[in-house]
Amino acid sequence: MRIFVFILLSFFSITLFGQTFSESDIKKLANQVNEQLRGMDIGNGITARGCLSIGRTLIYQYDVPSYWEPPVNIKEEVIGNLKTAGAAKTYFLYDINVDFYYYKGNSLVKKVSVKSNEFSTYNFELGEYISIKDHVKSKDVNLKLKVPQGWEVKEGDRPNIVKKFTKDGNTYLILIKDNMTFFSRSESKEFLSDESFVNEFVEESSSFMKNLEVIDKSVVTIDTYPSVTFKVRGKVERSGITIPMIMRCWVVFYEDKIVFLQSMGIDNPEFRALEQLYFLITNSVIFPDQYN
Amino acid sequence: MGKYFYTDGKEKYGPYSIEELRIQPISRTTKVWCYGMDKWTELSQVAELSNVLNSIPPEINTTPSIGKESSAVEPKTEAEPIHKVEPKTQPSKEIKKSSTFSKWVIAIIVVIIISLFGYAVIQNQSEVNQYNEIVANSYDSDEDFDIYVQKFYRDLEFYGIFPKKPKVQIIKFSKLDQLDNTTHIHGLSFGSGDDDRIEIYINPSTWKQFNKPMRYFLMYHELAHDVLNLDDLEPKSWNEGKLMYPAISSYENKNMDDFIESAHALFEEQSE
Repeated sequence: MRIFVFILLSFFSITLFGQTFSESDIKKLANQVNEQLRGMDIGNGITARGCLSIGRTLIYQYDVPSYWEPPVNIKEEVIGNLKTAGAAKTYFLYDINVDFYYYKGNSLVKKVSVKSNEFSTYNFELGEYISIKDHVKSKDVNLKLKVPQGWEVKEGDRPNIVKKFTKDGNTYLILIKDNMTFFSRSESKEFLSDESFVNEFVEESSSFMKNLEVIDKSVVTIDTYPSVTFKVRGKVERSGITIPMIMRCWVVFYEDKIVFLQSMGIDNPEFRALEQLYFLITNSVIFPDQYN
Repeated sequence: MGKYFYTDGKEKYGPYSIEELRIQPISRTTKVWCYGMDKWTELSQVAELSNVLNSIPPEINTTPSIGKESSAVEPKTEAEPIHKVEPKTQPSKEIKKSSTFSKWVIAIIVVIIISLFGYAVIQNQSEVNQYNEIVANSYDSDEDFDIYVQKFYRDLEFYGIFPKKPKVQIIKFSKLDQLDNTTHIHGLSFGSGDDDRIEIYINPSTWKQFNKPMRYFLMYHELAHDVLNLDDLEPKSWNEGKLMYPAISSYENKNMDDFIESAHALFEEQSE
């Protein structure tokens, strides 16, 4: 179906906007697309009528010939085409819904509505478990967790990084450091009940960032082990370039080790979308030794 | 002239005339009484009996030590003056008896001392033999025991305990199951009391059976013997769960939290 090729034009315009996309921004986008699109011959006797927006929904309008009949799976075809063209990811990340209206004369003969989350190009399915047992950098921690489908498993380059999962520049890594001594689970719970300790720990763990902003933090449990999770935003200097970064981290206090399960990326909507996947990975963590 | 009664302290005898009294088995201190006297009185104190008194020979002087014994038995001699008439022979017999008894006591003590010394020598030789056997049965392995030592010292430092870290560190597997006259031994420490040496032997069959927490229990237990010079606790129920409890094989249901908290309890105790 060539009728949706024009979508590419509107997609490029989105990159002109910032990290978030307001309703006003969507309206501006609709106007730009409308100017480019109006009266365009899409092919197969279909002409673009124009584009407008209502709230967070972009509405594309078409005039179709009298013999036109909508395909049975028109919605799936529309979503598939947009994913192929690359626009779907943008609609998903910026939370933009898209409607397609088809007219015969003045009569609306078909309406297709696609919610932004239906444009998701991310696969949040997890694959098989991998184990870090006996890994040269595991420091005797026996841990296993699931790798997201389609992600690559790599060895860590830096000293304490055991493994990392990567895809399209996004990273989830396992980092293990020594603690001062052993701590039992009840002892860990006790010191994590001290809020000032948690605050200090979060700031220290994120000290490589400048202009640090703690977005959230809480004490949680990961496979029976007391842990802290936090999300921070800040700036990181790499090779002279300062990049705005965001990090979601889970820190597990395991015996005499501190296990960091860390996801970090550029502070953009994609990171926020992937947080759900990072949560699923973390939720799959198992420390098998406790069950032996 | 009245008739007299005399007493040996238990019974009274008489009445006797003065002449009859003279041939009775009496001494100068024998108490006598006759009608008209207020109380029993020593024969030597009765003027009317001076003739009787003069007919009784005086007592013989004796050595002070024997004298003590004599005075100690005097009530008997007074009561049984017949024995009293042989003062020369009785102390010498007692001395002989006492001397014989003392010899026996000394002989027994000497035998006991010699036996104990002999036992100690044999025991010591037995321990030396056992140690030699353990060393002979020991062997190097790929097991990294040093990690336990490092963690042990790290944890001690965390609790403010800073024992000397010896340069000589021998921690090996040894086939402790093959030792003679022993029950199943999990590990042995030979560096206790020697700050310049850590020497521990671990039973490989135990090591194979033990899970991670039990291995930590075993290693920290032996290191506490070796480095902190601590003894085993009594195998009583109230000591169960503690690091120095000797029957570690009963710890199969313990987890790492149990190990950590028992180690911390010991270190806290030691740091006080």
